[in-house]
Amino acid sequence: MTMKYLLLSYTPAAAWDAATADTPSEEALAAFAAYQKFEQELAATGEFVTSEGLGHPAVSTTVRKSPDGVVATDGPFAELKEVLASFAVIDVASHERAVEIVTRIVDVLGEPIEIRPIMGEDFTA
Amino acid sequence: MTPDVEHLLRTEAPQVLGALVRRFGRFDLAEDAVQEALLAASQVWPVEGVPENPRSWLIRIGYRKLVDLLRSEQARRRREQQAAAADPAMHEPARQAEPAQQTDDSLTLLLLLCCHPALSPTSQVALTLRAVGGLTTAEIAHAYGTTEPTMGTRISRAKQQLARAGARFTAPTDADRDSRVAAVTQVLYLIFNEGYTATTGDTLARVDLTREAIRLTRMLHDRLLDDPEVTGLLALMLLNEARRTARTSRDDELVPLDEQDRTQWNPDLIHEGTELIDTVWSRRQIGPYQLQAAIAAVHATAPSPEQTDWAQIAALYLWLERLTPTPPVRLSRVVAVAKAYGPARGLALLDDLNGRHGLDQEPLTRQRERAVRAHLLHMTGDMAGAATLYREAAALTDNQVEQRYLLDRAHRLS
Repeated sequence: MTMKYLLLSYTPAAAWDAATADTPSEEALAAFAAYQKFEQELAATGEFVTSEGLGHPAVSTTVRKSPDGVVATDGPFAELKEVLASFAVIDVASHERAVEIVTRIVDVLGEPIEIRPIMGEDFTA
Repeated sequence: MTPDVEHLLRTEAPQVLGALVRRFGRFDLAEDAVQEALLAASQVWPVEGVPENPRSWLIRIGYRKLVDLLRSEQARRRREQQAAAADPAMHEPARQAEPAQQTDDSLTLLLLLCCHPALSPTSQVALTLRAVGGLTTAEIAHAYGTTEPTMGTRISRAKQQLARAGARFTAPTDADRDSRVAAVTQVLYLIFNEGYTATTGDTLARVDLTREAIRLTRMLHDRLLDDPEVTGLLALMLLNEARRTARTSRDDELVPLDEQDRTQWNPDLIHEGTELIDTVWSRRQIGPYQLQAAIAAVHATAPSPEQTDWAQIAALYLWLERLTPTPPVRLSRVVAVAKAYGPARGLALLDDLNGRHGLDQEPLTRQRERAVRAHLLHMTGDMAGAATLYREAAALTDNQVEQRYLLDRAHRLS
């Protein structure tokens, strides 16, 4: 039986705002190419589910309940120094395997990734 | 900026705006962001060359500007809005009922949004020119003879009104669709007419606005090929545009239809306009724009003023009057009847219509009613009566070209 994990990739908020973000460096492009190759490997083993890059936190909307009813607020849930930049879902045999995969990704891309288990059907109460 | 770059930017503007609004909402800020992206492109492209994929270049810059705008807004105040707490499905009935056939074309959706019923016609026009046409506020202000701050205020107020009205970047339901498309064609026609006959100022035709209206109508027509009135409107614009150079003399004087040099009429535009109206006419879903285009086509295909089929034009005006019983249409029918059956019949019809509908009192026709009556009296030989009415008509218009023309007529008679 396999388990799904959500990989959350964080980046410093300041880096996102840097003017150079639109024109990635040679190294960044090379790193991204290496990551894409790895993603293809995972797709071949059936361990890759999906991955997406995210928009700037400023373009997010947070919906929450308040005493006056449900309100939608422009902006992220919390202002953080490190913000979520992309996510991926993998489907692997073990937590160890998830760590192994993420180790390779972080080695290539350089920024921290949080591994969150996705609670499957066997965890429903 | 070269015309090529300018054309490219205007064509891409609605697509770029559509991409931002679709993804991030906030039409008001996205629209500002696109303006800034267009401005950046107009400065960078002529120097560095047009990028390989201009649209994604514009979207990338527009997205960056949008982030800046959102963040400065968020820094000023936390914008909170009441989210719909009720069943969300209630707000998107179209999505559940018929997901496939709705248009998701950015240009059409933007036109529908800019011509939202919550806005006044002047706001609809200004917003359409900026958001869909990709014109700058300064260009629109210039075209309408107003200042840039005034036009800027009008545009931002229009965007606030849209936000307050909860206007959405989605296709209207089928029930709404016809009336919304009708609002769009009306706005495009207003833009065309403003360009064709300037209401104020010295120059008779404003090249930019007529071209812009034709370009936008062409784009809409490409997307709504099955809409006969959109086709009719495009045909009408092309047939009028065909006569533009012949409409003014070298010294900027107005040349009436029967005195125009027909060799100056643009045969390509006449051909295209006539083909369009012929094709759509056979479908028998006749509306006002098709009727006006048909009238323009009869004029455009007459080899000389004397060979104009005025009886057919009079019949078309009668049909048009039934669909849109407006004072200008009634007055135009008078002219056609006079041409087809003589000035006496025309004057009799004019008296009859004045008695029932007061064309000589109506703001839209009181000036032209005098010009027409003057012309008909002239034809019957009443020179003194004609001269007086030409002068009255001249006093009632703000258009200096037309004023000179009417005074010249009066002068020649007395």
